[in-house]
Amino acid sequence: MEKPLLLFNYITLFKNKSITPFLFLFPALLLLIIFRIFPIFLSFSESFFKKGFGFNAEKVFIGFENYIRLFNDPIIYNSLYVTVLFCIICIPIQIFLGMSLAVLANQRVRGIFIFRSIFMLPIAVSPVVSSTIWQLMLDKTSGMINGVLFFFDLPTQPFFTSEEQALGSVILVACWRGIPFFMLFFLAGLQDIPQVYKEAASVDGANRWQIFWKITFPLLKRVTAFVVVTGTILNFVLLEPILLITRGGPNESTNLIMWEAYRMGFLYGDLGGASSLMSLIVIIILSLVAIEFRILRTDTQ
Amino acid sequence: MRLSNIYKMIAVIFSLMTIFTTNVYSVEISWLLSQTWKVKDSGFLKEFYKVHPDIKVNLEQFPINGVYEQIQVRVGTCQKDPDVVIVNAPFTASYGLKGWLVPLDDVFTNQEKGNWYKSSFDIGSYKGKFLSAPIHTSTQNIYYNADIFKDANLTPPGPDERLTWDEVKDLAIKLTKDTDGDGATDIWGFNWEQTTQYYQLQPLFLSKGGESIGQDGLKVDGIVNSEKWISGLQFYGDMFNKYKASPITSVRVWEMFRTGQLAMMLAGPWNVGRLSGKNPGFEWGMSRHPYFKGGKIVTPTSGWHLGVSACSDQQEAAKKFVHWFTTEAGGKAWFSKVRTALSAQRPVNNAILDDKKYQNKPWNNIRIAIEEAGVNPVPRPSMEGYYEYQQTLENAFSDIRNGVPAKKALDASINRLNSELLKYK
Repeated sequence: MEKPLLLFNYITLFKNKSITPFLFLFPALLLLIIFRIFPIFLSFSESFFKKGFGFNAEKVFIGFENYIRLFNDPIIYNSLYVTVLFCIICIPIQIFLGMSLAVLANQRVRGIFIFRSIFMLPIAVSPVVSSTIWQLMLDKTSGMINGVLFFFDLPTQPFFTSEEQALGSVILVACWRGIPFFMLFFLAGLQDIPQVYKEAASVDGANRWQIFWKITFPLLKRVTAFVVVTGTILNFVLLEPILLITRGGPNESTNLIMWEAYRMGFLYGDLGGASSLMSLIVIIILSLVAIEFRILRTDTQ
Repeated sequence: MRLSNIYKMIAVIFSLMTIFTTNVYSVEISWLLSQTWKVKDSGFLKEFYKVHPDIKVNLEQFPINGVYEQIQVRVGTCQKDPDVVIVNAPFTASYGLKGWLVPLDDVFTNQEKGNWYKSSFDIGSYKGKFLSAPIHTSTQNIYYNADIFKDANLTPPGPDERLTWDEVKDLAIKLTKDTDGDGATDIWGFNWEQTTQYYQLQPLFLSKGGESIGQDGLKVDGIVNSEKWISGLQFYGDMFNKYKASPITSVRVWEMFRTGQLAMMLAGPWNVGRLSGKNPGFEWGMSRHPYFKGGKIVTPTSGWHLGVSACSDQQEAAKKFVHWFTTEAGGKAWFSKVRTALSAQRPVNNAILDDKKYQNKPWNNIRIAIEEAGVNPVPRPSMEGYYEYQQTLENAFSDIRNGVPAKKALDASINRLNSELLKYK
């Protein structure tokens, strides 16, 4: 097995004056630092300050006051609860259906590329457009889905407007884009598994189910780890359907944490509060990702 | 080709480019406004260019929530543009507190200031400074589709008749119809044009005797969740969920009315222009704003203002535009070319009443709106935290419309209001 490059390998590489890899990495690294790392540090630093109203207002260092305010705010706890609930339901659905679709799309049958293309279509639609389309389709009075329910004499449903159904409807919108997105990675992972393993298992008398569980699934563990981590990050910071459809309601039932931070910062101009909330989100996501990596780490090749 | 000829050709090309790209305007300003206002090809700006040919106005149009967010992000971070922004009247105090708008006291003469309705001028001022110049004032009237009333053998309310909310409810229930018998409602009885907006729903709890907010502009507990608010807004929720006479839909109320799917809407005077300019294909009429029996008669008022960004580097030109727009010439051009919303200036509204065009059907309905605007209009509260107040309550109104009991929704909003208004204490 090929060993990963450790830090001292990089230093040795640099000392040996093999700077070519660094030159290739530099542009991406620079952009990453400017647009990702720097704003995170800026936001973290901003979270310890409070600024009064007006352009010339003094910026005062207030220590952890913004964080204390967040920890004392029942709205933040509710928002965290809603976000965790959303992720707990949404991520397993996306992974299970993404993997299932990938297994189906990996079959060697005639015209499979047509199915693959259809499965991929939701990724080609922007989140803004897909959110708007779903809003129209799930409209209580004139939506297509309620039209179908009505046609079959079933009661029409207030998908986005009822406290009980709104989060489920947002999960549906998130899954519609998420499932094909993750299917793509699983499909790449499946196509990376040498056919010879499966043939050998088949010769040994294993059925298709056993081949999947004993050969395919373990070899997909790295892809699964990637998908779980990416899924956690993407779903934890989901904003578009909330921004465009529910705006956190009804009765705060879809008040995902990212919307809460957006509302705080961009609607109400509370930059200190929003920065502290964003810093908390980063810490939570990094902790979750670390746990997931720990649980899902694998040496299987 | 000889080298000298190439140089000559380059010189000619550059000269031509200079001629064709030279701007006749000496100053350009950007104006942030709602995308629902069809300014671009209306001829409105041509009127302005007749007076100020040296100032070019570039439009930046967004959906209304986008306008608020653009102001928050761009003006709030002191970017040089937009130079002119539309200001929702009660937001003036909040923008004033943050120093986002330039005082306009010296831009207008005392006579010009006196031409505005007092409530419009007052709400455009903050701590003694005049910060946002009023474009519109407004009111709300019942618009009805007379053909739907006729089909239901009902008599529509007269132009001077003021129905109680119970009468509106009874009519709306009778007018709600499944015309083709498929079990789905095809014609709805009634809806509020700005279905979940504070501006439109404030009269419901004021008519019951409620207050908007405490005297200090911050106290909400015991006011927003008072019995007066709860009963007024429960009526609103019941229209959608109990009586099922109003539709819960993302389709615009105006569109439903225009296409004959709605018998009555409580809507603004800009609809007079929409319905008069292009025949909708049915008879329509207007009546007065409803009230609760035994309660007060209260009508909504105020509207959009214009402000000049404190960080604009074209403030003089921006002020000229604001001055022209919000005084008589601009007010008349706006009304006739863009939006038949009531002007915030008395002379413009008087000119409309004198104009023969507005004395005949259907344009004469605007007279009902102008008269209604003078019947106990109550503006929204002028407070520094108005944006947070409005956003939070509109979420609660939306929940009530969607079936959450009014008491539960209003009680829930108290937590958020207390949390959001804390920073203004």
